[in-house]
Amino acid sequence: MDAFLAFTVVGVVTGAIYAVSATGLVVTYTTSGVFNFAHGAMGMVMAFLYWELRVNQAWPAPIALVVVLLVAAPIMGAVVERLLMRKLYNAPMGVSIVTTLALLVILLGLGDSLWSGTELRRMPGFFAGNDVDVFGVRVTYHQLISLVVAGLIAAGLRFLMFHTRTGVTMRAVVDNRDLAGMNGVFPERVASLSWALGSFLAAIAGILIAPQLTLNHLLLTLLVINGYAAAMLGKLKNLPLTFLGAVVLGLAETYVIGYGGDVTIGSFSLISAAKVVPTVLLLGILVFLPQVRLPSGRIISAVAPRVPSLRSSLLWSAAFIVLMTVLSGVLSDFWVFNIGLALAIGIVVLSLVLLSGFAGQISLMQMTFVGIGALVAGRMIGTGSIFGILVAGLVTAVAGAIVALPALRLQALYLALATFAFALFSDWAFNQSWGFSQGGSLQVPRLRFPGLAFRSEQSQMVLLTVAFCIFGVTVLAIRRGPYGRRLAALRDSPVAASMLGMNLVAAKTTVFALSAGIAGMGGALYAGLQATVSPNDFNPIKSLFLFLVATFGGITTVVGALFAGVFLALIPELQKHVSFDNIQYFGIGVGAISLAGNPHGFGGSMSMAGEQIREAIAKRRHAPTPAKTERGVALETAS
Amino acid sequence: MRHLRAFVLLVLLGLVAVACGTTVSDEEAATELAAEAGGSGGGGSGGSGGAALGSGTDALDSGSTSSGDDADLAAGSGDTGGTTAGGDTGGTTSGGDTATGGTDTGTAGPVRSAGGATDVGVTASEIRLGWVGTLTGPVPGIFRGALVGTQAWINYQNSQGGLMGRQLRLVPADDALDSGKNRAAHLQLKDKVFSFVGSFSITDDGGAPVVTECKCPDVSGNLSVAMHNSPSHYGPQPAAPGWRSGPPRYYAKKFPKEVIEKMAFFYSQVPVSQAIAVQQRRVYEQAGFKVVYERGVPPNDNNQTADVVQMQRAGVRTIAFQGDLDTFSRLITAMAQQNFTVDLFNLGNSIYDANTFKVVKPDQIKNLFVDQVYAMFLGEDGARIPEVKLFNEWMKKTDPNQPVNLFAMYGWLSGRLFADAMNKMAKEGKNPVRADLLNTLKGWGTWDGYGMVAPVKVGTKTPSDCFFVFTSTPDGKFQRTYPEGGEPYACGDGPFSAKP
Repeated sequence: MDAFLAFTVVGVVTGAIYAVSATGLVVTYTTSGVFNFAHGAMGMVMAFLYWELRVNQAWPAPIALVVVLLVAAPIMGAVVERLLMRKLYNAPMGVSIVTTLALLVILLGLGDSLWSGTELRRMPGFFAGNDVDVFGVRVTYHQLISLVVAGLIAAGLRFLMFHTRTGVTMRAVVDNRDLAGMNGVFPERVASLSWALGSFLAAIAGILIAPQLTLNHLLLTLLVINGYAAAMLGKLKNLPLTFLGAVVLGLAETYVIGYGGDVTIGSFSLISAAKVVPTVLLLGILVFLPQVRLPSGRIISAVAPRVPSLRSSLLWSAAFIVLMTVLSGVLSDFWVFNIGLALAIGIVVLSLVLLSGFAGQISLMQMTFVGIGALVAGRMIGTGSIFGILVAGLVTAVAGAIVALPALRLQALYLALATFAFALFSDWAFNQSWGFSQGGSLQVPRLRFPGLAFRSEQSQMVLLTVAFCIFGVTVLAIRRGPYGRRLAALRDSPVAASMLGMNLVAAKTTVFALSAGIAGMGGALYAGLQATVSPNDFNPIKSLFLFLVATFGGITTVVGALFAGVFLALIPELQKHVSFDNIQYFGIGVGAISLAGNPHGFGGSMSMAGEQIREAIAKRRHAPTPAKTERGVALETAS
Repeated sequence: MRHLRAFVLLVLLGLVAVACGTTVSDEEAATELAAEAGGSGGGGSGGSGGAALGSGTDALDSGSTSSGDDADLAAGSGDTGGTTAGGDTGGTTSGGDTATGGTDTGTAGPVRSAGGATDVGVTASEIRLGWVGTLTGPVPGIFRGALVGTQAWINYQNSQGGLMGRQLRLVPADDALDSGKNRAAHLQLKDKVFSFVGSFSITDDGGAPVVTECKCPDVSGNLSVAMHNSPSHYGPQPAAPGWRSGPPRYYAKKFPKEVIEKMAFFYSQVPVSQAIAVQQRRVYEQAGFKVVYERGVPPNDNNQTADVVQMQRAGVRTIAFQGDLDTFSRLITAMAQQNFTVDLFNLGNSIYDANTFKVVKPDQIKNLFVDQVYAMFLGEDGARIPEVKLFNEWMKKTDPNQPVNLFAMYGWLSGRLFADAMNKMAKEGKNPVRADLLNTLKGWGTWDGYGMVAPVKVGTKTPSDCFFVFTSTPDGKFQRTYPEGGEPYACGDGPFSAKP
């Protein structure tokens, strides 16, 4: 009983940490209408700033607190609102998801550039060295302050939201911006205030959490993910329920550490799963509890770029294969390998083109499917053969269908969160002894046919070029066919599609399975190219990067997929030639933010520019253009 | 339609042209090599290595780019001819079966060899060496210490006249903490350098197949099993699967049964640490330890207080933990907060770091016992082992801003092992040839880095079964406690227990 009470105390204290971040998340959403994936990253930057002033510059704590909480944090929130969020008020929910994810990535880069990640830092807690005994557990004053502040924030913000004019105004602007404006409210000012408040809360969370961890960019940024489950329990609006959810989360995690060691199945001990308790709870809440209806999650504009004809795609593919074959014989092994890498990643992005570009389903776990494909190709039957690659595709397709089950009732933000939760869970699973095995890396032999082995870098490049073209042509063929039109309907208006008799369950399940299958086969090829892979190759952050680069590369086009592959494979090479650190973070972040102004991305823009050139040339010749017909198809799709 | 195709083709060709423009062809590389060889005495060679160090740019691609830091690095290689050679320190180095055993190869001075361009990366005046490690990526600069350590050795070696009558030049490549990029980096260098030296990366499994296929010697600290298994790889302290049985046997003798039979066993929940933990636990249990609480600690764990409560509940009196300093510091803080101490607090070597007492208060660490197979390279062993002093001197000369750390030490030691093998070849009248270097390393017996590492069997890649133990003092210092007689290492407690 003593131990139970002790674990309960520890759990409540841990829950308070989650509560601080979760309540801030909910308030930002309630007052801005944007689910801020970058909430943790904003808190991280402010925590580092506080460390800089308090520890590095030795400022007194009260002054450092005032500067960070009342000056820097609100300014950061207002700047973010002015530069990024103000453009998103009429944008689809998907664009705001991409933008806040991009902000997260930029802030991670900024944090690392300002305070190098290789240096260990320790942030002192408030009233360090003082503690009280609660049921045999010594609780520090800092932890008590965290608990009290979390409770006060939950209660105070509820009062602000529902019992003050400012709070009502904030909610009114989110509910109906124009109507609020007509009633004398200045929506921009209110939105700035909302973001300043959100940033202030993120800063409090960062400063309170940092002493209980080491001051680490990624840990502080991602800790807020544990708060997602609590925020979802509060349905993104109920602060007391969010607080309660956070405490339950802290308790659950602590009880798993306390008692999980006694629960074993073979070599698996439940205690090893403590890390994924918040993830499992998040998934459970998303799937089993009814959520607030949110706007559609489309991440591109309704008018899609022209879909090339079969003849055109085959001709382009042939030309591309010839070009790549020639280049493979000319370039050094180094560049040949990197181009192969770009093509392998391009294949994975094609799976997103199908899922997100054509069907409008967000996935933040695509690299997980790649990992499953690599794992199957490296550990199961048919290793190194075409059969192994097909099996990898089949197994990941089944995994995709399983993921689709909860996705059937989720949209946009919820789907993004659910798939990210799957990615986090899989990351944990990959690192277990039954994942990539202890030691981490897995050797995957390269593809061979009887009498033909793709062992050299050159042959791998040609193989991947052919594979990319096959997948590209297939994805485009799907888009042109009746199934592709069903996917477009699913993307544009699921309700209307359902009214017209379309089976949404079948459409969603199959597109998830198909997409996962492509990613899995891409994973098998990717692993073969690399020869060795490890869980690090498929970590959740890489899924975020992939999704962001795919969106600004152009998530509806094959050219966009190729662009994304090239970008992700070659930007680390670019980094080596510039003295400015973290170019990958800034490049991806800024690129993704540009999506708000360019919804088709690079690939879509190229495709549309090409179309305009063709139309102009055709006009000059006074001849009827086939392009018009194709544009008609695009407009038909859009409608 | 034709115009559009032409447009896209042009764009594609343009992109390819850009890519090709940044590639160094063999011819260009040879020209660059020759140009640099012409001025490779002292400062010249250091400068090229420094180019990579200063900005993280690849010296192969950036040619003669040089920053302020580079100048310092370059100066380091030319101005210290009078420095005492490390070999005078009495380290034992034996040439294994084929060479005379003894203590002679500490002298870093040149042993001449003829032959001109005898193999890849070798000219009459220069030997090019490759280095692959993590300089950018998610944690920029994490293994920069290994690069500076390797460069420090090169600067030192060049100050002694180089190797086989040739100056050394380091060509670094960055893997951005990615196994694919590690492979790419090895592919980039394999036809341009004679050997890889001092590489350090947790993703070195990517490059392992490349060095195996090209039969390129790799004298580095390995972290992956794949690299360890490569017949082209040899290291100054091989990371073979298994664990030393000496330390647990020593602790089992030192502490009573009730202490060692109440052990909490922690490990970082990352693949490399998990693999090590399995072996460590096996060997500890064979020595009589009993695990009453076990936990893999994930990197983002913030619930160490629960662990402490659980340990108190289980009556834990010994803690064994192989992890990183960050995770250690969180556990130590939680233990101090709960006023919980154990009799045997056996942490991994990551605790031996210049930053330790910046993130942990010295009085929070109680009853610390760390068994280690390399000298106290931060400087404590400077008087006992002159090589430590030499290493620190050259680190300071090469880059005074780079903290001395474990990675730097591995870079330095890798270079020292490479130099010893090359000198042995020269004495036998051989030229710098990859195959001969590999044969020499394969046949090498015991090597101790002039006292800087406990003796290892290089050729068979057997880690040392010797070790010493240190603890921490309340004023924030590390202090040796075993062996007590002044010997740097104890070797009789038990063998290295390889993975069954």
